[in-house]
Parts: sequence; structure tokens; C-alpha cells
Amino acid sequence: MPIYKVWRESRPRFLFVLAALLLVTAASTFYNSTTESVVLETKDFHQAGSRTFQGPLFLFWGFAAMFLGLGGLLRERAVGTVDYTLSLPVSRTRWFLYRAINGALQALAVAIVPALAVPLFASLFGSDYPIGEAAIHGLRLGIGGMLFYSIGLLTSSLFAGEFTSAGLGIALVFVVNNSTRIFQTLKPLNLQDAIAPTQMMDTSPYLARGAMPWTGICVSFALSVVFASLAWKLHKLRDF
Amino acid sequence: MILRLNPSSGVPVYLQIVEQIKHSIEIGALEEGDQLPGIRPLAEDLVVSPNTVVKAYNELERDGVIRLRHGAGAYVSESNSPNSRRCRIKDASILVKNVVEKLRDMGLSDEQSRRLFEAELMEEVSCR
Amino acid sequence: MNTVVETTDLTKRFGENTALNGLTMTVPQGGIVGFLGRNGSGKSTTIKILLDVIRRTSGEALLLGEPTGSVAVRRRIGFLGEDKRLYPYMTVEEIIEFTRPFFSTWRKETESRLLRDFELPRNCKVSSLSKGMRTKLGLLLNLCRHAEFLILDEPSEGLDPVVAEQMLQSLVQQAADGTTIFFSSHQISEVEQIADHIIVIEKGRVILQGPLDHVQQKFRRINLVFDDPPPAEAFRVDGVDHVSLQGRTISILASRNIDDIAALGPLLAAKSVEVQPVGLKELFLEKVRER
Repeated sequence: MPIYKVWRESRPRFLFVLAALLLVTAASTFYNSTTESVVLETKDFHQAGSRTFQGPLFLFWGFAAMFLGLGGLLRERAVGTVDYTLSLPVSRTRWFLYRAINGALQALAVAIVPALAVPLFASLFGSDYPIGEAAIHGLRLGIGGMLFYSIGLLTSSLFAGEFTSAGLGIALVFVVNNSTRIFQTLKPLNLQDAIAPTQMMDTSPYLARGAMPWTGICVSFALSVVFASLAWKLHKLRDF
Repeated sequence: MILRLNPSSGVPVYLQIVEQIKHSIEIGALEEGDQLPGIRPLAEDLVVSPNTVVKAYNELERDGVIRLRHGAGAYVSESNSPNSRRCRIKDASILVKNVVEKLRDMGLSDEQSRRLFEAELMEEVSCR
Repeated sequence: MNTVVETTDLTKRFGENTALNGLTMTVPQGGIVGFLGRNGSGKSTTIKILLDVIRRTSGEALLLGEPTGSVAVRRRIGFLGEDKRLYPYMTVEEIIEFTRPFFSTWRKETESRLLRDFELPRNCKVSSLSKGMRTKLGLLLNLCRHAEFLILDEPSEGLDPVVAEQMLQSLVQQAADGTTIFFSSHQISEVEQIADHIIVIEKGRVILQGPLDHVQQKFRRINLVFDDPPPAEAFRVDGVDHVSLQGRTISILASRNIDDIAALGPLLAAKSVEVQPVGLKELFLEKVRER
């Protein structure tokens, strides 16, 4: 089954990213729960989780999602197996769709699992964080941040080299991440809020308040569909 | 069946198979009624295209050297059938052509060659 | 007669470089077709266009009667690439399990037999297989599907003589089962052995194609030895492809009128006239040099 091959090809990448993110989450939660200065300053345990969501988890997730978008047929050309793959009775569109869906699900998983792990780690390190909150942040990270994933899909459709496509991907992630800072007019879209709950947070007890930044999430998701479609078109047209 | 093929000689492989089977019959390695290998086993054995073996067998049948029995295989046919006589005549005419060419190369005129042949055949007759 | 491949004026340009320049060829059904050409002549490009891995610039290409790119047609064909690269992260067993469902004509008996004959270790990762083993695996993946048409790009490249012979034998077996085989090669002797039809390509065009035995019976080398050789121009008659003088010998490659050309010998007082068949290597080199 084509999906089996797509999954097997992405498995090492996925497991590596998941493990890395879990590690980062654990480390960050640990730091925020135990560092004297932080705890004393706010006397609020929820901060451990919140700070993790605002900082490391968001940042690393952006790159991780992009990373999960890499691979695909162009990469196969570099490895040498693309002729065999394309000689099979499966259309290019189908191959692309399988890869896109497989990667998207992985990107979502890699947002939710570490997010849900925050309460776990928090409790391990003497703090606590409500699971409901974690779930919401995780979901928002996953869906709103599909943009980063689709950047990976696009760059891997442009370049066969793993490093080139990853490099361009990282650059684009930075641009998108800082877009609201660079282009003031985009601020109302709250792109960053779509992913990292910076605005939503109350100063104490660092829990989400206010409405979900729906515009930001929708715009972000729409853009990711645009990028993914571009990647698909490239797949259909190019010579392998 | 022991066949030595030289695919790079420029002589079509099917012709080489035909010649070598004929040769095997001439020297007695194959006799009347012997069964020849099937097309597929022979092709696999020689590592040649099955079409080539088919072509060779068809030619041998046309020359009356073998008989192809539908579904039952290929067999060396009897040497006195009218078909094989035709085949011998055909072979003989090729021999004659070669000799005549050679004689011409040597510089003999056709008249001279004819006289040589007649002399030889007469001698045979007179000897008997 | 049915054709499995038909190209008409097929052209492919990569920027400035023209890889295929009006390639018109026909692959007849049944039998083994050898696709000969130098490096860079367009062999791999042609094969990739047939598989829709790359897209043609202009012209037509039909595979089993359908334009290239048809997914349904790919259910009826097999392909073994030059690199023989397969998914390195899968084991032998996994890649067989992966490939099998695509082909309704797959036969499990062939699978078991070839696994045994080729001595392929089921649980070995493809990345740890030697090139010879990978070729055998690639062959297995193709032979089990009992396709109507099998395309191979330089199948014996990188193989030791034993494995190469095994490979040729399996191809003959498939051909006996009715599969049309199309293989590109540099090994002219191999083509002479198992092909019954050849297509020769040079600089993106077909320069010779047809049943191999017709080609072999058509061409002759005529060597005429003279005491005082006449100029080569004297021999440029109808049917002569190439004339060369080597010492006292005029050597002619001819494709027609063999008898008339040979007769020039005694006419011009040649000491000796020799008419010989032409091996494919010699013919190929001569034809390619012509360009």
C-alpha cells in the first residue's frame, strides 16, 4: 500500500522530532518549575507550563513541523528510487496526497503529544498545569502552525537536496514568525497568536483568557493550503 | 543437444541453430524419430530469444529436416521423404554455386568449368 | 501486428541540450528487443519518457496503445532501472509485500521460486544488499507480476558474469511466457545473443531498427584485394554504405546489391573477393561513425 511506504520513509524523521520535542518540553518545564528566581518572582506554578508554551515549544515546533514537511519524490530522485516509485501504477497526485496527509497528521501529533506532556512534566517537577489548557494550546499550535509544515512541503518540492530545502524552510519560518513584527499591518491578523498564545495570556495565573484568535488561525491555515497546493502543482509538472 | 553458437559472428542465431541441427543429423548425433527439445527449454538452455528458436524450427520443418507435431514436440523426420529430397537438392545447389564462384575467382571461364564438370561426371559413369 | 511502444517524432529538450531529436520507433509485441546506443544518445531519456518520469517536449509516445502517463497501463508493465536502487529502509520481505498488491497478475509461486533460486534473504534490509542481490530483487519484483511488457535500463551493468547469465536466463523465461522484453544495453554481444529485434539510437534519433536477423542478413562486408587498388570513388555505387582502403584491400560495407558490388571485383581485376557477414559491434561502430 502506498501509504505504508510513505509512513516508513517518514518514520525516522517523525520519531526523532517527537523525541526532541519531548526533551525540550521536559527541560523547559523543569527549568520553569525549579528555578528559584522564576518561582519566587511570580509565586505561580502555572507559569512553568505557560512559559514553555510561549517559548521553546513554539519555537522548536515551528522548525519541527517544517522538517516533517521535507522528503518526498524529489528527495527520492537524489536517493535514486524515484524511477521505481513513479513506474508503479500510482499517480503523482496520489503520492503527494499521501505524503501531505501523513506529514500533517505527524505535525499535529508532534504538537499535541508534547503539549499534553507539559502537565505531566510539570507535576513531576513540583508544579502543576491544567490538562485542558495544555490540550487547547497543543491543538492551536498544531492547526495554526500547519503553515510551517506546508513551508516544508513547498521547499522540498523545489529542491532535492535535504540541506537546501531545510535551509530555505528555516529562513521562511523565521520570516513568517516575525511577519507581524516586520509588517505592522499584519498585526490584526495575530498570526503569532494563532500559534503561540502570547496575547491570550493573563499575567497571572498565566492561563488563557479571552477569545481564541480565530482570524489568525484561519489565515494561517489558509496560507498553508496555498503553499501545499503550490507544492502539489510543482510535483505534477516537473521532470524527475 | 550440444550446440555451439557464436552470436557475434554476424550470422543470424536462428541460422546457426538450423545448421548445427542439420549437422548433428548428418553425423548421426541425431537420428530419425529422435525428439528435439521443446522451444522453451531450448531457448532457456541456449539463453536466446524463444522467437529465435521458433524461427529455426520453422525453417527446419520447411526444409523437411524435422516434423513439428502440434503440442507433441519436434521430431527428426525420415531421410527419404520427398521434403528431405528437396532439401538435399537445395543444399547441393548451394554447393555448386560456391564451387562455381571459386572457379571463377581462380580465373577459369565458364566453358572451362563446364568441361571440367562433364569430364568428372563422365569418368564416374565410365567407372561404373 | 501489435506494438507495445510507438513513438512518433519524439523530442525532448533540456534547456539548450536536445536529448531526443525526432525519435520515431516501434517496439513489436512478443520477443526481446535490444535498445543500443552510446552514452548520452538518449536511451535513458526515452525510457523515462515512456514511464512518465520526465515529460516530452513534443511528438507522441504510446505505451501499450495509451499515451504515456496512463496509470492503468503501469499496472501491466514492469521496470528495472539502471541503478537498481530500491527503498533502503525496507527489508526484502517488506518491499515484496509492498509491491505485490499493485499487480493483479502477481503469482505467488513465482515469488517463492525466485526467492529460493535467487537466494534472497527475507529479513535483510535493502540497504545492506550488494548490487547483484539488488538486481535479483528488482528482477523478482518485476518477474512475479508477469507483466505484458518489461523495460530494463542496462540490466547487466555492474553484475558479475554469473549473475548476468542468471538475469538473461530469467528474461528468456519471461519472454517464453509471453512478456515483451525491452532492454537498453552497452553490451553488444549480449544483445546479439538474446535479442530478436534491435533499435539503435544515436544523438536522439533512430539510425537502425528491425528484426536482428534481417539486419544481419542485409549487411555484408566485401573485401577486394588488388595489386593496384582503384580509388575508393570507383566503389561508391548503390547499396554501398562505407568504403575504406587498407593497404591493398578495398573494404566495403554494403546493405544492398551485394552480388553486383562483389562483381566489381573481377571487373576491376581484383586478386581476391571475399564476402563476409558483419557482426553487430562492427555495424554499430560503422553506423555511429557515419554521423
